[in-house]
Amino acid sequence: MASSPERRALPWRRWNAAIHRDVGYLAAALTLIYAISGLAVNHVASWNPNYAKTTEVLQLAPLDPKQPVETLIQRAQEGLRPEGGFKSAFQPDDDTLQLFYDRATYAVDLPTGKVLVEATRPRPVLFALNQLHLNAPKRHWTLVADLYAGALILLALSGLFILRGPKGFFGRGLWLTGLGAAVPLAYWLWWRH
Amino acid sequence: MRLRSLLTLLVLTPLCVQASEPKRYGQPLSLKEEVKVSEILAHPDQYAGKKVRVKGLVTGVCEERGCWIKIGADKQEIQFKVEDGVMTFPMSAKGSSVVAEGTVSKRVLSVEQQKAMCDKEAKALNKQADYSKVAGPKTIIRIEGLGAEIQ
Repeated sequence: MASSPERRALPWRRWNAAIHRDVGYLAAALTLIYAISGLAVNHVASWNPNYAKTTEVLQLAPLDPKQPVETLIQRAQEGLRPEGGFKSAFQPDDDTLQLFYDRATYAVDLPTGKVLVEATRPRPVLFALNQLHLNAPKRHWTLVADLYAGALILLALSGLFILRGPKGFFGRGLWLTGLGAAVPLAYWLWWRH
Repeated sequence: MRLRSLLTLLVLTPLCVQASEPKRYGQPLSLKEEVKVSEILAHPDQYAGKKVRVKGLVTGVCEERGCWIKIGADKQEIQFKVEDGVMTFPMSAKGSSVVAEGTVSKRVLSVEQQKAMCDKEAKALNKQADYSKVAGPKTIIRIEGLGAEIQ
């Protein structure tokens, strides 16, 4: 049952590896959430990571903008027969009537009867991942996110010292860690100027 | 069976109560008096820098980040802008009633400033800057959002 001299000499490495392993297991799901959402949100300029949007143009008979707004709403609804529950209506100007439904918005150009229909629906799964990533829930999720950030710091630091020898931190690890740190530093200096 | 019913009731009751209450964003509302959106837009210099409370309909939502809503009332609309991540408005808020508080801001962007913004956007999107929409100085009146209740 006697421990080998090597094991007795370096107990902290065993603890380090065990902490890295178990914190890694705990952080795996959150890492996937943040990474997948990060990829999606990074490209927000070229696509909408949260919602899938569809637009359609419909044609109604022209409506007289001078009619009372209640009448205009009723006439537009008769012609459109929209799906979902009616929420409200708004006139941003005399010639436009917007109808808000649960699943879509209808913008009616009253003099021409042209209707722009915009429907948005949350992207399955990705919407939820993005909401968590951007801390939309606030409250207790802030604590979870802080703990996760702490776990990442722990994983990064403990990961550096798992191996010993030529492939450990003081071997090739130092070069690769330096390279990894140089990328953001160099990019920041280049981008700032 | 009774226990299951009781548990179901306990789970569903808060959901029902929550559904009828407004969804709150940011700081709690504190002002008593409301100012009309049309009043702010008609006299922006009078309200610039002042904290106001407005009421209306959510007529638009930032689709990408949920970082602004448009508040419409009296055939006028004003943007209610928040810092990214401070509040996130969902698209489902469109068409809902809103009461919101924030500070009115008025900015006049010169042609040079607008072109600089175009350049910055073009660099970020890796494309050619488009100055076609720049036609003289532009006045932007909006509310820098502090808190909102949407129902």
